[in-house]
Amino acid sequence: MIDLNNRVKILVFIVTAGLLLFCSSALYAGVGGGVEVRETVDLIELVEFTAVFLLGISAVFGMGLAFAAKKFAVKEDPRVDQVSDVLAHAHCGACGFPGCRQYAEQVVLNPDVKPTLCTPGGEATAEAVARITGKVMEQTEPRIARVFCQGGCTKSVRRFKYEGVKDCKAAILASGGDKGCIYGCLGYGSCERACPFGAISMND
Amino acid sequence: MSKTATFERGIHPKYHKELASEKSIARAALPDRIVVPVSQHIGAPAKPEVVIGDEVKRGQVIGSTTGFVSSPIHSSISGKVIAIADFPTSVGKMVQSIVIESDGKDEPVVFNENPDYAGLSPDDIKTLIKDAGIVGMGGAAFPTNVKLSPPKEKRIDTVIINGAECEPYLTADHRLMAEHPKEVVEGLKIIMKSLGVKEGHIGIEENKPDAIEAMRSAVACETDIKIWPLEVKYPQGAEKMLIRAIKGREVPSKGLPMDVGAVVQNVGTALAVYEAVRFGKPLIERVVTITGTGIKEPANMMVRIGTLMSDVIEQCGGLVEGAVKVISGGPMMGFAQWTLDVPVVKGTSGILVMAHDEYVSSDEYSACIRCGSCIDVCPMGLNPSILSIYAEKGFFEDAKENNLFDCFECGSCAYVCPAKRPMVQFMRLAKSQVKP
Repeated sequence: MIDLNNRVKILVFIVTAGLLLFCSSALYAGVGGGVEVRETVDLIELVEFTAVFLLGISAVFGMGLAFAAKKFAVKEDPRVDQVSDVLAHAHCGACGFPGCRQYAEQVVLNPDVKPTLCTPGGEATAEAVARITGKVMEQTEPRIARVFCQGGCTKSVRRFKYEGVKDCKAAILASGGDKGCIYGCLGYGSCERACPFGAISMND
Repeated sequence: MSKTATFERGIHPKYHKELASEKSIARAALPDRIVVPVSQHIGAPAKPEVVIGDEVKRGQVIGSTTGFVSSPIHSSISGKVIAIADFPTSVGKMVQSIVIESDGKDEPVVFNENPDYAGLSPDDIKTLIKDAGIVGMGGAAFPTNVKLSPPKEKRIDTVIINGAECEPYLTADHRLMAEHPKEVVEGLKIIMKSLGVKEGHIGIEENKPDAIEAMRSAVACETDIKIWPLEVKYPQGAEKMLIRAIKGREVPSKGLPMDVGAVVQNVGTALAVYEAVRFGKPLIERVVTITGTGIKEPANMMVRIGTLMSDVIEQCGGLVEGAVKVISGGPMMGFAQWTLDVPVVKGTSGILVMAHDEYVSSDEYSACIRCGSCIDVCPMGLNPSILSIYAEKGFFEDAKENNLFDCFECGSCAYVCPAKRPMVQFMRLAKSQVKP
């Protein structure tokens, strides 16, 4: 947000300065009603005039901007940004909030929201969040989903020898995959490769 | 420059046709039971018209059409319906199938014969073909009556009968042409009439001289039908290649043969059309080549639709010791089978069993080495190497932009690939992940 404000300020400054330079030169050169047109232009005088004019106007606008920035500033807890920086930014929603930013806000402002909710971030993230928010991090066992049937590659029978693309999406095209059990995991690891957070791993 | 018609690129695999090419078509024994899948064709599956316990006769309709692109199914034996459930099929899917147990009598229904079929109108012919459940018998199994009903704005001027049979090992179409040339020509004439076409062509690869001779004498007094000996090259029998070879026309990208005014039908389809129109006989049996070094007595057999492959293989002496791979169809485009308890369907042109020394494993494939061999052979002029890389890395949309959907999975790229990459499977994977 601060970056954006700066950029806007610079833009306003440049535009104003340009306009003023143009107007003041015109004024000085006598373009407009009531002033006699000069035959020669004194360069030093022009620059001085412009500089003074610019400084004056920019002081007025600068103060106006500074006042507006103070008056309409959105108050935000700096810890929200700090928390947001340490989250995994998977936007997975596992914490129960729509996205990482919302969780960061809630975990800072709402005392009931636990610091351990960022599942992809793991323990390191939970510790950092707890440190920033000053909350107590409860030690929890990591909860890991497992294929409950235990039908891993070592136990489940294969109907045939599958040769070809080592990918479940491809293997399923060949007679529905080589696993004897049509519900079972085929074990070619497409899911493991698809997840950038290492949430899924193939073991046996 | 040879005088025989052909297309550009393509490959020259070992043909091994000698295993079965001299074997006359034998009639397979009456099976004890048949398994008839409701979906043997491209399009909407048929709707079962029988329930468990019904008595059916040979030729009786047991499944009716459910849409324009659909085909009815018939019982190929007489007996009793004992199950309607999902069974494995040769294309690798579980499909609802009607199981009929034979009563051993093989009683037929009364077929409506048309001795004077020359007087039938095109619409009558299409209705007869549709009711007979005829689909493309080269393997794709597209309903024939739909192919014969092109939209009005597509003007069809040519019918081509595909007797190329470019798949190695297979000899079913070869034997059909050598033994039943008259019927095939009559079938072609019926197809030409139904489309109002004056020009008929029959393309046959040069490695079947006896078939070419038989067909030549069958068309001796036909002025509109021409026999074309074709160069022996795979995939000469792909319909787009055949049109290129015979008519010199190129089917546009994503187009169909009808876009260049041509309709291509398989030899087996032509015979089935003749039998349906002349004798009212539905498509309940087809010629299947049972061949390969893994089979004891290779043969060409007239097999009833729904007969299990295990039954057919048993009639050919069974498998030899060390047979490793059973393929439904030819070695290039066929489907490897994991069980022999799958039925012969309308699109099954062959049962190929490979012994160990013939078999090439593609289990250990490597990254694409960009040698460009596949580009040299792709009959569609695609760049299979980049398509396979896109599919491998998951860039399916990019594959689509590189004309993925013009690939008809002939397997030429996989055949020449020195890195042993499963090219066709990559294409199928990509096709399954994006919409055409």
